[in-house]
Amino acid sequence: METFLQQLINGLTIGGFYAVVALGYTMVYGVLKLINFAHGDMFMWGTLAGWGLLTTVFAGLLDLDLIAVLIVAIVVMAFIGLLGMTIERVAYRPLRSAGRLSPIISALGAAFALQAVARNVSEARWRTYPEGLLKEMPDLHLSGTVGLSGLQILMLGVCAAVMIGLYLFVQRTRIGTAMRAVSLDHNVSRLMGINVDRIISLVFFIGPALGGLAGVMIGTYYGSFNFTLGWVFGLKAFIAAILGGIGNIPGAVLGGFILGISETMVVAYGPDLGLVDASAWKDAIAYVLLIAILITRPTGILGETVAEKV
Amino acid sequence: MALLELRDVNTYYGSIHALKNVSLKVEAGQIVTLIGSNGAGKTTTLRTISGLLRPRSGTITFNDSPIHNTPAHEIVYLGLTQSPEGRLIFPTLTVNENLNMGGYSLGNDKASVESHRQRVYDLFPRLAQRKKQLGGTLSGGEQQMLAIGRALMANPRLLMLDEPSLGLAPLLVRMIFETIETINQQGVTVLLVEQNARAALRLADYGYVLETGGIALEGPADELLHDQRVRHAYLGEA
Amino acid sequence: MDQALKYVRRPSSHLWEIGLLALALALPYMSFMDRSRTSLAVFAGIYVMLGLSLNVIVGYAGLFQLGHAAFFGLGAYTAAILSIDYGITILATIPIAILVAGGAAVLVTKPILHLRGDYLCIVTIAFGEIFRIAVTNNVFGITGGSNGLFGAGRPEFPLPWLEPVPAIMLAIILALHLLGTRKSGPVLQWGGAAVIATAYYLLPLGLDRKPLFVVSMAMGAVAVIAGAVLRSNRASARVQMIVLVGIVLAFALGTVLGAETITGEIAYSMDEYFNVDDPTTILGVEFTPVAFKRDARPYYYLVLGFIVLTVVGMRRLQNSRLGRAWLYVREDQLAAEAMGIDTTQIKLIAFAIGSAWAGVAGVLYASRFTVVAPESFNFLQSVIMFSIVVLGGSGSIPGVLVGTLGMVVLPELLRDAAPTFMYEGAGPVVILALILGFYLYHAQDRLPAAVLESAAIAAAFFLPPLLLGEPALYVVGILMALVMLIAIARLRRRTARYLPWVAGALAVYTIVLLAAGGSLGPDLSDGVSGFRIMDWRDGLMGVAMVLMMMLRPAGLIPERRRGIAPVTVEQPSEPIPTAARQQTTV
Ligand SMILES: Nc1ncnc2c1ncn2[C@@H]1O[C@H](COP(=O)(O)OP(=O)(O)OP(=O)(O)O)[C@@H](O)[C@H]1O
Ligand SMILES: [Mg+2]
Repeated sequence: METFLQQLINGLTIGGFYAVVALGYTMVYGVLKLINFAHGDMFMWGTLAGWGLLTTVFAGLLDLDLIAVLIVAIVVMAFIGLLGMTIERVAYRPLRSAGRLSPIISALGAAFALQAVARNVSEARWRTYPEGLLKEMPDLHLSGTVGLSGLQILMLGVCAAVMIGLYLFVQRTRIGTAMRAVSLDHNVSRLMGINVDRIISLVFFIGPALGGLAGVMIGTYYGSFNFTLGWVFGLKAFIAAILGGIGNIPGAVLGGFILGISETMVVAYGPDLGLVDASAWKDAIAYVLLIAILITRPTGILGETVAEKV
Repeated sequence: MALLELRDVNTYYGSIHALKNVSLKVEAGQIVTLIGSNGAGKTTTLRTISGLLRPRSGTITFNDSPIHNTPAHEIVYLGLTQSPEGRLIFPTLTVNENLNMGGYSLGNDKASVESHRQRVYDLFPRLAQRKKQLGGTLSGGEQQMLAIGRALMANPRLLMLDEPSLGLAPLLVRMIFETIETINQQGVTVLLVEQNARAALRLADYGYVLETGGIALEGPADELLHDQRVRHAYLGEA
Repeated sequence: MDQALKYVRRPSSHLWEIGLLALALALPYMSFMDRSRTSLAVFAGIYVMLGLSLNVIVGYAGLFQLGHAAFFGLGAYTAAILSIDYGITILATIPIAILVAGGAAVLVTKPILHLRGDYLCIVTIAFGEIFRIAVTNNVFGITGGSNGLFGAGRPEFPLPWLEPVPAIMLAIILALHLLGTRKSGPVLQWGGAAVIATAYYLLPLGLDRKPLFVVSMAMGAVAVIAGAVLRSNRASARVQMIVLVGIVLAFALGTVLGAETITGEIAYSMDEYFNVDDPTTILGVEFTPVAFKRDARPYYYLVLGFIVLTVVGMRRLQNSRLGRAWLYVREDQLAAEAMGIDTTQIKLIAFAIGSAWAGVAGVLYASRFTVVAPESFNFLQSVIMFSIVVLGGSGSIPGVLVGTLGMVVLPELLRDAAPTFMYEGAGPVVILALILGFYLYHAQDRLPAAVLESAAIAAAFFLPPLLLGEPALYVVGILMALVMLIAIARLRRRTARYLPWVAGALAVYTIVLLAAGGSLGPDLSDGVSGFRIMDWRDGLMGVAMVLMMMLRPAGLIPERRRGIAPVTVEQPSEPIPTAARQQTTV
């Protein structure tokens, strides 16, 4: 039971990361119906940029690590957000009317380019965040050996704040409503006076900025990363978005948590169930879940079961 | 000077020549109707005016300024809105949110959005009872009301309506037409596209007849109503 | 638009193909084709097959498939396992690979076919990844884990005679079949067959090359004369004849370019390429078992043979009832259903055929490399296959060829892009020229501007490295050329008709370089300062993918539209709504 609870907590934390990355996928999919394959690599750039800043410019500030990480996170969010807007401008906007195939290729191309830059910047090596970052925060003991580390509390808190904040923004504000309108129909949105291009740019700022934030959080949490992080983690985050029902913010969150928890649980309990090498199969869980859910509910768990617009 | 003027407008869908030298005028304060059979190019005309399509040649002026190169969303800010064919309300937004989107161009001015919404609810009391209902769950008639209301939210000087009577029961059609008249009396100029030529011409001050992409006839509405060709082709009389 | 159509229309549909085939046949004997490049050509050939097979799914049926590598892998693993554990000769595993890959495709895609485009896309990725993870984890204990399987067999087959004569007859029949449509006429039938037959069987089986040439050209000439007599009063026949002469000459030229082998050690013997065993007698006929060695050339011809077979098959498929059904499903699923087409069934067939054929490519892969490991079948490979199809032009067979050049050949050439890049051989230049040529052929232009532009592009490519002697500048040159292309495409989309001359100019330049024996320009063999193109290969590929899509969203060589033409909407300065776009989806 204690292991179970502890694994649940660990799973929730990882799920939170998936969820925050998934939000970026889901928002972009909402307004453009495009799988933004570059999102995973933008998120990885976040980790990379965070590493770069923390090991150079902010290296002197590490005594005040919370403040340092906070500032770095904000800088990285702004940077990755702008990167996202640029990529939309360059790689996606010219292709808005070009059918479904071309934007996918363009997105994959952008992903390759980002990855190549990261590979060269990191010299294709594993890179580590500064030792002992945010390790000094008070832990929370629940019962027995079960508990949350201070880092986990912080991470979960930030994830929750981001998700709730974004949800409120999209549901309650004028611009948020306009985003939903744009994701329903570009032309009609234009007839309302909505500058569709600007809304899309905004989505391409917010989504990647959140990705950047997740990047810094993951770097801090795990400590080390390399340039392939974006592919693997990004793809799984996208799957999380689909699990919950793409284009749908609570769906992305739900999917993220489901995925995070399932992965942790399989690794923890797999050996007992006869899966000898459970951690080797960990990466397959996301895909199996995806297929299982899409076969039973083609639009995801929270996805609306509307027929495809024909 | 007319409020809206199209001069020799040509619009294409790829190689399909959909509007051929269309010229028309809408005088301020009037109701002008554009009638024509299916596929004549009425919707295309409105889409071109609204900036969703670009004319390949010709000019469109609204309120003395050219708008044929203005992006669609900016045209709304000039006071020209449209309730599109097929209503096209946002199905997963509530009635209130749909109206708020109609008033997007009003900016963050909550009070003015509120007052315009009130005006719409006064025109269509049935909508007022369904503020929180999702647009997609409204009946066809209610959706039409919402579409018109949404286009009114931006406080337009010229309101364009594309077949507001489409698919509605006769009683509701009459109600919609009465509302259009009310809207017009409140000082909004109206460009009305209709299949229901008789009702449209009765309501309108001036009319244009569109045939295969070109203006075939124009004149004061009551003259058109009695024109032999119009009666024959569009009013179903021998 | 009408103008464009006039230019795009080909004089006769088979001319290009025969020209290409002649070129392909001569390729391994050209001077710049060293061992590694021939190897690369084999590798690329396998990707052409993969592209053609994926084209059925993506291009014909309009479905997403980003997990194609899994079926390629299934074929490869099937072949390797059967060959290693059961000793089955590798080419004989093809039917089993077809069954395994095709059957798996049916099983796996059946439950997900109803998913809409993007979901299908992501689910296919999932299947691909599951496959990779499964083989990495040594599923069922037969896949060898992350190291893969070693020691798959090389192709071997018994030959009844070692002399090429019967083989020639066989080839002629094959070629006749290949070319034998009513349109092409006897000139091409016989001329093409002669060229093909000679090259296909004589070259690898090792006659002295000089006589071979005489034979080949003589056969071609005889065919031309015969054909000309047969169809002398038709203008189109004259066109055909001129082109055929051109082909024969090109073929000759191609091999002459391999001058060193003509004057040098000429003779090839069987055992340079093959292990020849003692003859055995089966049913009274004496067979000589022959097995491939490591050398790439026999593989090259094997793969080429499969490609030809595939192209012919795909053509047939495209024009069959099934092909038309796919077209309807792709263009308008609802209408297709209304016409009584069982769309699910049709899509399933597309997946089955495409995947089965990827399995065949897998067998070829296993037989070529004899090592089969998970990383050859990962997501990146699927992306490359997908890009091959889309970059080239979804649904278009020549598009697959061009796509492969761009996605497989070019990056591999960049891998060993040494400072001597352009001086060492013509390969990259020819490829660049081909790509440019194809691009420009489809663009339209007026002459004066075109000359300027071609000069500018050529200058961008060649001047900086020549003048400054800095290897990094090759990259600059390529980037400049890309910028030029964008500028041209953006500013005057319809105005580049004569730019194929650029391609011609580049080709001439190449020949000059070759003639000069690679001594033009400064010696760049040392002076690379910390810059390795290899590090940036994927990045350049990515940038190129984005740029290509911007320039030609429908691919380099779009499929000629048949049937229902989609209406292109007069582009407002702003984009088309999502809703409208969804209508044209998969
Ligand atoms: N997106 C499009 N692509 C190609 N052709 C189109 C497109 N939209 C409309 N058309 C064509 O343009 C012509 C005019 O269409 P339009 O919709 O303007 O007609 P309409 O007068 O509004 O007809 P209705 O009364 O049926 O609504 C028709 O022939 C139609 O087929
Ligand atoms: Mg209409």
